[in-house]
Amino acid sequence: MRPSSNQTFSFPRFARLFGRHTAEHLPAYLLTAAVGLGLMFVVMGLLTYLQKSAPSVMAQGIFFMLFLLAGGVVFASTVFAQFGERRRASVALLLPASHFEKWLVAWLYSLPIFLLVFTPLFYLADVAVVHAGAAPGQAPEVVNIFAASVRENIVSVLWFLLLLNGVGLWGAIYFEKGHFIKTAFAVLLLMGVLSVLNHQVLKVLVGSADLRPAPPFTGVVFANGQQFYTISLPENQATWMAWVPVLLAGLLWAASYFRVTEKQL
Amino acid sequence: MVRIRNLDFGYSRRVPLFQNLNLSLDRGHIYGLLGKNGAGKTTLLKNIVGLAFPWTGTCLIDEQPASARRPEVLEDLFFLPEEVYAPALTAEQFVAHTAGFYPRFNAEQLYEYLQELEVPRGAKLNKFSHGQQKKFMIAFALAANTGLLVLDEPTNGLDIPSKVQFRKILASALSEERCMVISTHQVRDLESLIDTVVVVHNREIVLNEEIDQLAERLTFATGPEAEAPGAFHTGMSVRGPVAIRPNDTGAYSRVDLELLFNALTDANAAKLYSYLNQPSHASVQ
Repeated sequence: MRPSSNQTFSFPRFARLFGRHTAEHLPAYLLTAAVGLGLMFVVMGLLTYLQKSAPSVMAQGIFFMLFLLAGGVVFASTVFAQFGERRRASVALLLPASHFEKWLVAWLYSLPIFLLVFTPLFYLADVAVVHAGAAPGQAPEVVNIFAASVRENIVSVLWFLLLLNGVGLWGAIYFEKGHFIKTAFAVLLLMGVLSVLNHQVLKVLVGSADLRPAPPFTGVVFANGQQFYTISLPENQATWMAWVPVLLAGLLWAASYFRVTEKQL
Repeated sequence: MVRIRNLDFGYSRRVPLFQNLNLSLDRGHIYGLLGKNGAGKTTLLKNIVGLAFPWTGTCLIDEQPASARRPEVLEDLFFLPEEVYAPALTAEQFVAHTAGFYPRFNAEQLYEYLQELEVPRGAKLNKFSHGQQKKFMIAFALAANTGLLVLDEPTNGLDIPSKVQFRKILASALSEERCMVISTHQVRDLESLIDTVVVVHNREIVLNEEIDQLAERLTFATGPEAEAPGAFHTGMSVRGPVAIRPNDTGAYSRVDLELLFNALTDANAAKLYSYLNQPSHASVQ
């Protein structure tokens, strides 16, 4: 055995792995991008056709967020597909690179590269729909997702995207096939169970009051007679709640990495 | 090179596949791993290369745990599964993006092997037939020049001329620095190739012996000689009766791997086991 470089991360080895992954998956990724572009165009075009005018700036912003979150989680849930199928998994797992490098290639593709590709594709579909579908007398106006007025919303969505990316990556490595469906099912099941448990714990805390549904990490609303009460964190502490998705994403990224290290066939 | 110590493994806790398994594989040898269907040949290979993790015990490659899959270990290891995966790349593209991972990869060797195995060039690998894909991957595996080369059922899917070429190439690729492990259930495919035979049966390694040692200790008799009493195992072949008996005369006898395998996996193999586990100078009763 020859003396080798760092066993966790070596840039030349990582670059080689990244290049190999790109060469092997580029046709599939381009096809996915084309399908995504087509879907965005069709959905926004259909809305434009039905309302006989181009979507408003607000509607475009909502479409951006929905497409971003949906596309992000679907794509993230496929990037570890090579570790699922047995024929491909033995090659992927035994390629001479570290587990961290293999995980990092998947993370880079599923989040930063996805964002870099998704944003111009959305604008391509959006500009086409807005200009082609503008009603007579309607001045075409394209949403600016970088505008200061929407920055806060976009940041919240990005935080949520991180969480969904973590979920997608974890599902991609945990399940061997049907990654997206199984991940979505597992998440919905978990959310349901947590909500029920959360509700039961809160019921014990507030006693006989009429408690409103309260998912985890949200405030509590309950009625006592004709009076409604809300319990929530003070505003200065509530801002910390915004970091919960990032923290959860970090945990899920760590879980998906360790799952790669433990992957057996 | 490979050291397996007290390995326990199975896919279900209730049904262990291996218990307290020990095995050492050294450089400079071509090992033939034989076993019945479901005996655990592929599982053993997966433990060796780090695709399956022992429940207890250790599996080391050059003193490093195989399950850690460290890059420095993987650079010196190539595992060719029975079902190969060929990406949508041409041979040249595949080599350009994969060869760099293996420090001793030799492109000239690869193209020589591809020529000998009559693998076409230019087309994308995923468009090849299963046999062509397998031949390409065999050629790549050999050209990677890794210290440990593990081939799982490599001759499955190969036509007869390709099997001949495969044996020829593999024999030429062996060096003192390499350890090759080949699993198969087609014993005849390996007969002229391997120098050490490892047999997996009933959750354990029942034989790990060099062919030359076996030839010194056993006689593989045919015809009337096979019918004499005192044989460990008897059977019938197209050549008439066959038998395995102790080699009392010291005369060379070509090892019949298929007959030996049948004898070792037979219900009455205890006598043969105990004979093979004795020191070679002990006499047989």
